[in-house]
Amino acid sequence: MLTFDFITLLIYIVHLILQILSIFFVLCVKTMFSVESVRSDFPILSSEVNGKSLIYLDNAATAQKPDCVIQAVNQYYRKENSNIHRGVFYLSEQATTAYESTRDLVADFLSAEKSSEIIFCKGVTEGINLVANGFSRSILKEGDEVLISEMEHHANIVPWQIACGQTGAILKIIPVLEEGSLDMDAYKSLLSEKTKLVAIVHVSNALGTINPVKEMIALAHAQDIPVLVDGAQSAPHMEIDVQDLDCDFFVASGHKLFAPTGVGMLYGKESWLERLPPYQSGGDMIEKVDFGGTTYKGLPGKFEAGTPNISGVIGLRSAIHYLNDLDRFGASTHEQSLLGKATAALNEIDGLRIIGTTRNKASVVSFVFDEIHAHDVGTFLDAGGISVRTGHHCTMPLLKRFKVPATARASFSFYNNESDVNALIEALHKMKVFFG
Amino acid sequence: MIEDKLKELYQEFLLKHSKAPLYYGKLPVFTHHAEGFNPICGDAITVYLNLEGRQIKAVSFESASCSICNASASMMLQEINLKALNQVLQYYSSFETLLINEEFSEEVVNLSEEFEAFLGLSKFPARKACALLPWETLKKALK
Repeated sequence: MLTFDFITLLIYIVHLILQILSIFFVLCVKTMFSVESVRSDFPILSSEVNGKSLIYLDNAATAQKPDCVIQAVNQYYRKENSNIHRGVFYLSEQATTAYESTRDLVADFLSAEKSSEIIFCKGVTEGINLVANGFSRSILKEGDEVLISEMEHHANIVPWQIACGQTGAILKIIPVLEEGSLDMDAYKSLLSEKTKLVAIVHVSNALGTINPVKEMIALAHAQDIPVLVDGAQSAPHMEIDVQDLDCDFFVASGHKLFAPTGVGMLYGKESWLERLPPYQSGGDMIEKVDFGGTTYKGLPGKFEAGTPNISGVIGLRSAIHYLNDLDRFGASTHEQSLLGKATAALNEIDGLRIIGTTRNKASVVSFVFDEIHAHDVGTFLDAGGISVRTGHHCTMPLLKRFKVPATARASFSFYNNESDVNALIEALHKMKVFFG
Repeated sequence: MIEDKLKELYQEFLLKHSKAPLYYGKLPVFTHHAEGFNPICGDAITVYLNLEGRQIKAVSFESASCSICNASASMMLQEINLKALNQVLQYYSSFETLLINEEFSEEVVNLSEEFEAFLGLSKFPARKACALLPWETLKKALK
């Protein structure tokens, strides 16, 4: 009897182990990154441009949308459309729940402490304008300093130029070194008791450089200086933890995160958002309106005047679910491998020079030819179905620093594959012959 | 064929003009000049003119621009050099018409035939701004 029981027990244990292993296996297979599998999630990737299969290498400008995002927006307008925070009827309650639950989802996505620290906006440009406007009206005084870098996107330059112009504050610039990284010694010496804010790009859209923002934030905080991080290019490529970074503000755009255009997120530490005055005003941001005086909502409502981009937020919700289900480590490893292959192959082309050669880069590569203008490069590649960005990438001061009027830029997402890289390189070789 | 379509845009002598543009450099003496800039692509050009009364006596340009813009500048200056101002303005409107109508019609016959090369731009609408930039800069210089 004893032997029988032992054998039953053994079979049972082996069975259990096999079951656990099979569950583990299924989980692994389900989440393991596969480029061909993710490609099928993006309908546009099977379309044609100029009679050629689309090879989309302009992901730093905007990312393509997975089918689930397109369907979510479609579904909202077909079956769920109504305004939020207004009616007591079914659809409005549904829309309000969907909108507010996305705030919770974004808070988790950025590892924020509270959902009320997430403000929906149009994108990075509006997010930075909101903060710059608040600083201009309530923080900055004559002689104060705002510190940005030479590699900022215009969206993180112009709002500060205006804020400084309005207050008499001075805009200070962290220089960029030859390989495309920030001059950290200069940064340290530029921080002073006059500095009221550091506004810095996490990943350069023009060069791909990943800046050491955590270290920069610690250095600024040592002198009680708040830091805004422009995460337009970092959020699509890496996991963001605003509490670990300890940034005071973080902004990202939905459309670069596979969500629709016109929606984005601003994270602000509660204490800072409380301190800043409302940005835009009108409906929905108020508590009580009276001609004798108006009171505003608390966070986050204070910063969301008027009917927001509800369908955009619904699309964003779907995009974040998509990213949460993705093996992001695998995706990022894949992007880095594409960057490595592209960089090596570009370096083999005579007369081509890569701008931005620092080691720590996101999957963005900018290049120029001695003899061929970037604009001609762009047209030639487009004729072969290859979309790259050409021009100054909204970083004119940075291009001036590198003494080039324009660059061609290929930026890879996780849905790009090796044949996209090969097609780019092959077309560039053909182009050299063409313009010979 | 992609190459065929591209060859329509980058016709031989457009490329020739772009690689060895005429009137390149800064005039030692000039009465008018202007800078033109295309904020979308970063093309930048400066046009210099030396006028005596209403007569153009010398022309030149400097640029950091694409081949279409350089070729256009080179051909434009060849066309307007030593001409009277009222003729220059006619050339400007002819060139604009050529780009809009996308044909070398009677309205634009005062331009040399070689400007027909710009009809290749009809398949590349985004590049029309490149061809127009030298002309807009010329107009700015004359204001």
